Amino acid sequence: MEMILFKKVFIEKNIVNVETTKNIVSRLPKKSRENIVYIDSYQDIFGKVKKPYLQKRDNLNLFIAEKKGVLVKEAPEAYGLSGEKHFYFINSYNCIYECEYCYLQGFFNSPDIVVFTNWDEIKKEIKSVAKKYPGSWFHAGEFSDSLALSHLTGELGHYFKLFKELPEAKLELRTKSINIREALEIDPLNNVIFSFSVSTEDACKNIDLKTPPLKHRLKAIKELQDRGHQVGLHLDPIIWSPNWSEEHTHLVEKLSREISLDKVSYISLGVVRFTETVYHQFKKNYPASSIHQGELTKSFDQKIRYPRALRNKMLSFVRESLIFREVKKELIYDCME
Amino acid sequence: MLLLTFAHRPEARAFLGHFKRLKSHPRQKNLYISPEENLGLLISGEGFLQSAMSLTQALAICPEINYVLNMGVAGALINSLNVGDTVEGKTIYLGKDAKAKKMEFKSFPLKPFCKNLYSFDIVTSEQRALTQQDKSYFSHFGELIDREAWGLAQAASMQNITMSSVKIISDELNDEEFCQIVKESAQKFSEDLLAFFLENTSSNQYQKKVSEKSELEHYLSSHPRLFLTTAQKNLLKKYSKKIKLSEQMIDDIEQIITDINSKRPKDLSKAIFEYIEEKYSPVTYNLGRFGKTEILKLSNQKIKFSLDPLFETSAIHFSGNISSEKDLDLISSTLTKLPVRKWDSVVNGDDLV
Repeated sequence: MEMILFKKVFIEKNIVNVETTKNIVSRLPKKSRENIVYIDSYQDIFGKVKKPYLQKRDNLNLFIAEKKGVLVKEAPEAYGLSGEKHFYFINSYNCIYECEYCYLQGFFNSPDIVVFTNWDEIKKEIKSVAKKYPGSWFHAGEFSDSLALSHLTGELGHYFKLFKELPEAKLELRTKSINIREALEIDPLNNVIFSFSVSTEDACKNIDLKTPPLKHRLKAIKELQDRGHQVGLHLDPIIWSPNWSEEHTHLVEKLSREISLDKVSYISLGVVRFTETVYHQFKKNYPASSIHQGELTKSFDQKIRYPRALRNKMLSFVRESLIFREVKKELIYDCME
Repeated sequence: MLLLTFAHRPEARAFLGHFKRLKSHPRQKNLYISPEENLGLLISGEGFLQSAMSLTQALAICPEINYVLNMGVAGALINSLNVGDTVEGKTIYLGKDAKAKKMEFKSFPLKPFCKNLYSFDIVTSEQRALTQQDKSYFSHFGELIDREAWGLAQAASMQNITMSSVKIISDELNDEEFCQIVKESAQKFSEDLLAFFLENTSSNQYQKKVSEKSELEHYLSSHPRLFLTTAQKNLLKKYSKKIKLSEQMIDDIEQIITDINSKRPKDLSKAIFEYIEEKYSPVTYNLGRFGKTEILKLSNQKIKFSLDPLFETSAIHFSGNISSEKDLDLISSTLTKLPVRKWDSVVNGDDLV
């Protein structure tokens, strides 16, 4: 696994001696360990100034901190499979990848990574919410990729241990990463689902910058499935291109060839969308992106998306292609539509 | 025109000596202009407020300025930078009060000036005297510290003018005698900056840019049969980001011009714009055209129809008034003509190819 080189590592003084912090520090590359700065609170620095998003390319810092305030939040409507309550918990901020449409570019005022190490409190809160709302879903990866840094944080084992005790609750780990070595060593649980975002080969290469190519993602999915892990898929965001229907036909064919589509827990579909703030940042950061070729327009909720007619056309086309490949209709849902 | 800015005269001395045609501007003390060389020089003064005011005034006096290059000395906030190193700024932050951990939120990214230089983030400090603790806090945000760059960047940004910053390191992280070092070495720093400038700046780098028109803009705005309004010119700029002029498009445009009955340039331009709009937003354009020809055209003096302008719903709105049975009959018969099912299917994308 490639080690990410952080320019500086900021650690909150009060958690320096916490076991999880020490473990993370010990797994950092030597060069990053030479640039550790001890601080009172990550909020004294992170988000204090507007740090340009693209500085993540050559000036990325890591903050190891304690998450205060709300640790588990209810997810918005249409976030996951309907009929159940969905929550996400906050274990870190920001992502090492650089997907051109990513909403994180307009969300935090810095691309720096923050990893929270007070897992005991986060786990306690998950337990309490799970008790209050049996059968709920919990999602990691709302503000970060769930697996990309898991070799550094070592958190995967903790999640499995926790959700073994909560068999009625479900955990979704959203990712584009192929960092599955740790996962392959863990005994699978039916209520822990690794959900992979997959896009067409062209989008993985030219839009999901710095992410693993499609064939590597599919290989990771296959290995997890073979190990007995539950896997979900997000065909989200679907992005228009002059050959979008052919490209998505190929994608679905590839999925059906390379992984066990019949064993997939669910598949979510979504079309590219931006809030106004994120769209403004996207235009500034990626003026030459192929996403601009699509007919993006302001929608009913002020978000920037394709016109409804085009969205429906694209979603139903991909849905039908999946059904044609024997995916059960009830396992496919539209995300944020 | 390129405007060089320095906080203090000693930093600018070598430049004033070299560019002999720079003449003091009668309306602003410390602003020097050489129209022949397409060059200006401003001694902005110290402090972000002072520098912002000086540059704002200079830009108002000389609208030809289209590039600002801030030059001068900066302190190092990291150990690896040594006195005399020439570096450039990447992003500028404003440090308000290190003890109170106060930073200004707004920052300004700079345009890279020279490929061969290492670039670092600059913190412009509001206060002059800094302790090691102050430097330590500011070092979380940048590697260089100065007293003016943020103010200059704010003034330049307000007028949408590009700015770069090239700095020479005047004091290292652990130096205490900051002012003393700068004073003693000012002449040397100025000469080094001038040498760097002469070596790395070609005159065409800061020539006034001719507004770059896309091929589509150029083709349409110079077409002898067309007349574009200002609104159309602005729209064309937007369309040009997505639509590239092709031979097929040229043929289509010429065909439209030939086919249309009217010879008025305004009518011809309107028809061409409809064609371009269809290329730019094909789905929305076609929904609009269907709505117009199949629904809105049914409006009459008794009932008026309108549609969701975003075409996010297929709801058809109408308003009208009934004063007699005849009105009722007219409205009823009009309503029965509405292609409700077809419209719903069009808005849902069922008919899209």
